[in-house]
Amino acid sequence: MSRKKEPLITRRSFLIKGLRTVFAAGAGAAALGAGLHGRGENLRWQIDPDKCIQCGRCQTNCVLLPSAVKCVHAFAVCGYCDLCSGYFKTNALSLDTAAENRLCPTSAIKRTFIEDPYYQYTINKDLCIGCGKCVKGCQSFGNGSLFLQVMQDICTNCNECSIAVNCPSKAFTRVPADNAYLLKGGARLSR
Amino acid sequence: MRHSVAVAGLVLFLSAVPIAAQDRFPRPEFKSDYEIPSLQVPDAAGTWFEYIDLGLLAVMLTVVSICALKLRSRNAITLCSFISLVYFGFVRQGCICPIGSIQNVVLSLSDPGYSIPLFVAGFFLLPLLAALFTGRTFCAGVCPLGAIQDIVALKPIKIPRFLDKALSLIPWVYLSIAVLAVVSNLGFLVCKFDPFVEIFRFGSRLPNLIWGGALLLIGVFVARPYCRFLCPYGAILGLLSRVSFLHISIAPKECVNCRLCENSCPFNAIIPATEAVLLEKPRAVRKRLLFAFAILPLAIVLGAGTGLLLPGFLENTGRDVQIAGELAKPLPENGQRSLDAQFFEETGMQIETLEASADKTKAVLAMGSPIAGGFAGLVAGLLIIGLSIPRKNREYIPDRGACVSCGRCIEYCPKEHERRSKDYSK
Repeated sequence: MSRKKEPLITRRSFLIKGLRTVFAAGAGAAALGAGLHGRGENLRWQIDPDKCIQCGRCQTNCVLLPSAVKCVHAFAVCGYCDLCSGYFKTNALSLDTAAENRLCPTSAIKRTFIEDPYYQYTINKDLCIGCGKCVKGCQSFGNGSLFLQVMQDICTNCNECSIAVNCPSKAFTRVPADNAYLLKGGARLSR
Repeated sequence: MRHSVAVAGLVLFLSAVPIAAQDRFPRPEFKSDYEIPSLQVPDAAGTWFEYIDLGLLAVMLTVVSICALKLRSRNAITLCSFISLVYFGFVRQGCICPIGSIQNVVLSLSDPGYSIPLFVAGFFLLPLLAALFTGRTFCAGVCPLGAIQDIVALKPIKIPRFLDKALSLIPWVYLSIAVLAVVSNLGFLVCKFDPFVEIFRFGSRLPNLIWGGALLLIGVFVARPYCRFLCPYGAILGLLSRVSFLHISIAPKECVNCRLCENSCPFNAIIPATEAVLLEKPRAVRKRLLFAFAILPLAIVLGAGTGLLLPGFLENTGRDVQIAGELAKPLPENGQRSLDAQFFEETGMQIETLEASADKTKAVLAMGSPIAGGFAGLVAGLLIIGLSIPRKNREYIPDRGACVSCGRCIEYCPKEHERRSKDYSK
């Protein structure tokens, strides 16, 4: 079986070469089509705080433990209340930092006195587990200055966010990576 | 008085035009020199990181191809796969992988609201192009899912050929169902049932961990079970690899038919040499081929028919379909809806939007299911035709579709050892 006797192009080699070209074109077209169709933006997952109902699934459904979702505090909106409904349980016995009075299960909110009668509330992101209890409290009776956001330095940017799949209010959306936070009222957080 | 203020606040809240938020309490005017801190959020990890990953993918594909085709060294390929397992698996945490990127590409083509990041399109395309050029080198040493299975394949048993071929249809069925699920808004099934990502992340989702552990356990005896019998990307790569420009070969130059490599492949991917002439009568071959071609349309119809069963299974995995179905029914006796339905009522969304979304899912499923089934039938038919074509090869060659270019067989080839000793003595 010397190779010289074989014709330059056999039926088989023609078929293989043809298919190779077709497959290459097909794969390229699929990727290119998808790329052009989607404008090739880099996207991140984020919560639309207007839609969020604080169901608590952000804490439990993230692939990370603790969740990449954390509470964010917009100080500019905060009323600096003494009786903070995001900080205290509704049946709090007294307005102090005792654990039994506080909403936050991990004591991630720090309450500091500023001047009578105002207190500043600061979130410790290392302790926050994204349960949204404080957000719910603030939303129900306060100014709504606390809200949940996906922390982009922690989030692994899963192909399909497992919280988004289970979010009852479809509050999870993909947003451009360079402007990856959503403020209330549809405003974007520049940064 | 205070009560009415609270009510007014509530009305304001419900009118749902909060610019920043609802101002129930005025922002305080501080007498002290306290300054209101600004809102601090951490930056996203830069996108450059993802392009470095894409570059590394290209580099690894090239390196593994060189290891497999030029160096012909199993050890080098193993080293590469170990590096990939550590980097693409444990460091990058296995996401985004080319297997899952199929779904991003499909979603990008089907959903105008979704935009595929360029590097994801790159992750989808690069291994495909590599497969067209050098075969499944991606599976050999770049894919972390392949690497973790390759490591545990300690006591591979030989699966009967017919069973092997029949099971190799599953990836195509899986692929068509996964594409259908993406198009009909049921989510990314391939990612949901990814067996090893939970291990890569040291995650805690028990079902996935059990699934991955089970596959690894099976993988001790059935080498690379996910790659061969489930991975939809592997199926595509296998198809492309069959017409690849170059491919790993068992013997460096000519094969001497010593049969030493015969049992070396844990993946049943070595085609033994045949006699020089066909032993079968041409008449019998022709008859069989005719039969195989006659089966093709039958397989497609049968597949499409079976596909009609799909909506029954898939429909209720959609959350919108589930909730809409539940809300359409009267309240159950205990007066408790499921948590999902309760949450939906809490969101205050219109039931019509939910129903519209559920109906869309159902409509797409109804239309797509026979197509997906027919596609699976087509693949089955083509497989039967491919198996009925008589082959004549005088040498032991890799089955390009099934071969993952792992390089195990190379080590068994006496000609290869001759080549190495020659190279060494030079």
